[in-house]
Amino acid sequence: MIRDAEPRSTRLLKRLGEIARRRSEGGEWNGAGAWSGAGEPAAEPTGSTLAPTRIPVGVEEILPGGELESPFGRVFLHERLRSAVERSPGRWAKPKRGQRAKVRVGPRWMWEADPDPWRWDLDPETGRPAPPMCDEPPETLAPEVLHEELERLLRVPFERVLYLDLETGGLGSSCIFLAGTMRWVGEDYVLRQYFARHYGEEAALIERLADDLATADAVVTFNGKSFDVPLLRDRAARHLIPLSLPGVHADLLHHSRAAWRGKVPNCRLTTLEAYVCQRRRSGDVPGDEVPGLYHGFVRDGGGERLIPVFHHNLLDVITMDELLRRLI
Amino acid sequence: MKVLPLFESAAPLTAQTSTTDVARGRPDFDALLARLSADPESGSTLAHVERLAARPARYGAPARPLAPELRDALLALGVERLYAHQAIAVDRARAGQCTCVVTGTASGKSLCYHLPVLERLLGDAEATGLYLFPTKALTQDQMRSLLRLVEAGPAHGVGGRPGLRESVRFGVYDGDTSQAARRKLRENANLLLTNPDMLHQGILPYHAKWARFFGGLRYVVVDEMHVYRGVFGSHQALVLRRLQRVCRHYGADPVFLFCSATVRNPGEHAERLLGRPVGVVDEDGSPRGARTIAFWNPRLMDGAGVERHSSNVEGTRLFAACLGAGAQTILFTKARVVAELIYRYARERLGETAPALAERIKPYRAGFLPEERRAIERALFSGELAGVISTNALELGIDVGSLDASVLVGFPPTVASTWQQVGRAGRQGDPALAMVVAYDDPVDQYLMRHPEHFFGQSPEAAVIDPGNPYLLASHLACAAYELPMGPGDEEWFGPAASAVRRALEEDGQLRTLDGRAYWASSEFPAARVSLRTLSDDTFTIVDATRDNAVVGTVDAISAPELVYPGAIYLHEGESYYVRQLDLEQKSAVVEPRVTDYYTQPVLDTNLLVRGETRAAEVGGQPLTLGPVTVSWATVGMKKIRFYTLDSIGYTPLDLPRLKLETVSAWLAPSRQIRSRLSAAGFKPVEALAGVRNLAVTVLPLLAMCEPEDVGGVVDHKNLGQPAIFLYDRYPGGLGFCEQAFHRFAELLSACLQIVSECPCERGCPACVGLPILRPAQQQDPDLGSGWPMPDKAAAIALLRELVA
Repeated sequence: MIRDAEPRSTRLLKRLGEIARRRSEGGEWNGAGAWSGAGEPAAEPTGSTLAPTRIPVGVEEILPGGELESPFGRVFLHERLRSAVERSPGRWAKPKRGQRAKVRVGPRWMWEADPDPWRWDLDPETGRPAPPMCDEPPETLAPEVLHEELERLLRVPFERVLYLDLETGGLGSSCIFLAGTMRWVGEDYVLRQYFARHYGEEAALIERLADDLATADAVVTFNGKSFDVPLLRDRAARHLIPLSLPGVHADLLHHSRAAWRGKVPNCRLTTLEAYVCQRRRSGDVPGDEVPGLYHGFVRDGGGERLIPVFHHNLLDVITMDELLRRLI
Repeated sequence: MKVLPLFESAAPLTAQTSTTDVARGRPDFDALLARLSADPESGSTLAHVERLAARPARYGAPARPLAPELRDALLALGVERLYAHQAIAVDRARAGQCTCVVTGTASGKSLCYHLPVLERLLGDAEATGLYLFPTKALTQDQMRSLLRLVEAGPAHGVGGRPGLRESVRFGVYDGDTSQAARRKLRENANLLLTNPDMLHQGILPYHAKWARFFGGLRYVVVDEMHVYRGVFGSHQALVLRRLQRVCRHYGADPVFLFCSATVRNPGEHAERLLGRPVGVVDEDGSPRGARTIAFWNPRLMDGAGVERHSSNVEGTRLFAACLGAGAQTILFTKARVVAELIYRYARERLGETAPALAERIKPYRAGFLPEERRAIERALFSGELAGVISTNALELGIDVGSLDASVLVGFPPTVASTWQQVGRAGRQGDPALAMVVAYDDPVDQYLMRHPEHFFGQSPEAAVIDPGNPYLLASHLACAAYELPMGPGDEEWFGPAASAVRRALEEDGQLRTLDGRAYWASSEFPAARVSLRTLSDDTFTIVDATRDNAVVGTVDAISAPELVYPGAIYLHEGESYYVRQLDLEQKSAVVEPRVTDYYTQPVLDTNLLVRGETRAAEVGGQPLTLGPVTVSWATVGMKKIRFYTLDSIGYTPLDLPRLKLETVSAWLAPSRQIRSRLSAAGFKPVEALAGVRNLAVTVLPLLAMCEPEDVGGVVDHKNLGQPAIFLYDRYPGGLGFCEQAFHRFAELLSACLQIVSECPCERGCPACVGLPILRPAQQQDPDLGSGWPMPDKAAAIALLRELVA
């Protein structure tokens, strides 16, 4: 009988048992120089499935771009103009003040079908009853602090504002594998995605990102004060990479809470995207599935599985800009 | 970050001035012993009295004088000179040599590390230090002692440099620390007090937040080193390797200072813990008072009974007598429930004879809230309390001042910890009395018959196994999460590391790229690794009649054995009836209720053989080592009346099963042996049960583990014939039963010696039976219900077959 459905942990226990046995027998379980990789597969009794260090299936086919060199190794960079993503310049032109009042809060499909736009008990994605209203934690920055932050942001030349969103390999202090940034270059926005094709490329990713941040005067994030920035600091410190962040950091989560709390079911980015920007995502990937997709990619290759992640990251950055325009 | 001292009675850190002849009424211990053994009420005999002579203090001075700020602080605390071992320790630490200080209880070990560490912090603004204590309670206690030392220093340093109070920014960083305080400590502290669990789960995985701290780390102190043995010690060894890797990453190479109670192999143990050479300082310069140690053995009950008088009742009698003689006394028990039981007995007993004293005793054990424990420690220190009844929670170096006498009910699991508990009495060079009451179990009874074995023998060797593949798998995952592992890491984790790394890689947890192994999963590996036992979860016990006020806590693995519905839960001598056990909310709802009985859970254990890894023979019989799945559930409870220990009822219970994947060694005697036993009129299953009970108790003496680290079952379902299974009560096993597998012949000879030397006629708890008041009863699948006292003659017959 073939038992290929054996759970992983059982297999691990079995392997550890073998090691324990060889160890207690004083056997030659210690292949000398095992770390060099030489002879390693031969030492595997079950037949090695270890892939070589280069990922055989790249992401070039699905994410056009190229390798960047840095003192910390290589990293993959995908770059394009926002106009190539979104055709309507009205949606992505340089933000102007005074658009705030024009925003009609609520998903377009909802108030088109139903004249009452205040049906916040419905989920914007499905139109079915949504979870209870706004359970956002109450703590947020004081209104005057938020106001001052936006004023400072608007004094920065727009070319020196960097939108930033990170994707990571899990909870806690996990690796950063994708950093999406966006920047105004006078006519259009440049979108950049730094992608670590495996764990060894994280250092170069952080180093390149640190370089971009060094030439910015302000950074715009969504929940970056609690998540992206502390994590970036943490990972940079881990790799001993010097990191200096711009003096202005506008975390749009706090601004959105102040502006729309109580009018939207919650202040998650996708919710705001539906209610405030009136845009629905298709083919998106739930945030908690992202780490697993990445680890699967590093293990087995198959870049297609990451397409929704790249897309998700790109949309997050673009949505930040749309939110900002509705906040100023 | 500075906290206010919790009590004002600034007791000296270690009063090192000789106080032998204070005009304080010393209890006359010889007269007390004579009175106790002549007591008609006595249920035990004085089996042995050992007298240890007093020893004067020996002093020393460091090669270079201490920093003036420290010298002044010590003077303010009444310490004029250092003991010899303290001076040597300071010299070694200053020279950057990893050191292990092994001296007696209350010999001023803390100063051996406080002095060099504080001196370094005074002179070096970048330097940091890390103190590791095995328990939170001990951490708090050391925090207070450190605070006393720092506060005793002059306000300003010499030559305009900051004094101790400004230079030393310290605090406790553990599970009880608030988020705000944690952040402050991360950013500012240069001396951190914590425990290995916090280091493992809460600090090392986030090391980048501590980059400043690790980069400046000059000294790491590992106090109570002897506690780090077995499971906990092996984990600690791997945590210390991870710590050293992280320090190396930030360019630091700290000096490690260990302190330990006496063990046989301090240097070797410290080196195995650290993975680097460590020098030993063991010339104890502290004074020691004369000490009398008495062994009491409860007598067999009158009549043909096989049971002895209750050790707990005897312990209570001795405890009350010491208190009556004016001696401040500590009584140690081996289990929480016993501590509560004896507290109850003692209050009743003193209530009749000395009501004032009855109000001046308290129980002390894990599960009390920190504030309750602090209050008891303070009251003990100040002398307000006359006596305390404690589990080994007070065995570690928590400073409760000087006690006059200690009573040990049952021998602690190791000789080292027996000496620790004995040493609790007679601090500061005063004469002291220690009394040990034997339990009716094989090891205790053996020591009563052979006291020379205890006094002649040096304490056990502390044994750890940092190369255990199961533990390595856990810690390599954590280490890779912290920093990718490169070729140099084999140096830290030993030769098995590369094989384990490959196993983790096959399992998809790690991924090696360009010669570096990375953590390749979205999980947080430290969260699933507990350094202590099977589980780190705790259940909260709340009183329904007092608005769900928290009464105490209990760890998740014990909850189904302690606070099952209908159980009587004893806390501070109050008995509570458990209304409900909520497994989802992890809480037990109780109400106070006065009863004349306590409850004992009945466990049902199932064992499933999953494979065979090794086979051998012992006495011509097949012996096998292999992976097994053990599951158990509390299937019922017995109500047992206080004092008489009559069983007055059995209630079935329905609680979920707990499951354990582990390693077992099993022995299946052949059909021929079983037929010969049957032909001689014995039941083979009873013989096996007797040998199982003996083996479970004796194995710790061989494999250097605690009795609760191993379990045993007699089962016939797996092999189609009855067999004895011994298993590690630890996920994945920890090599205890592997030890048993290799030394099974030795194990069986020891069992035979104990059972044939036992004076009982037909079997008693001191040999083939299980000791009374074990936390839970085992229900053997093959033995039907009830409380079997296996046939002694059958066990002997079987052992003779196997040992011959």
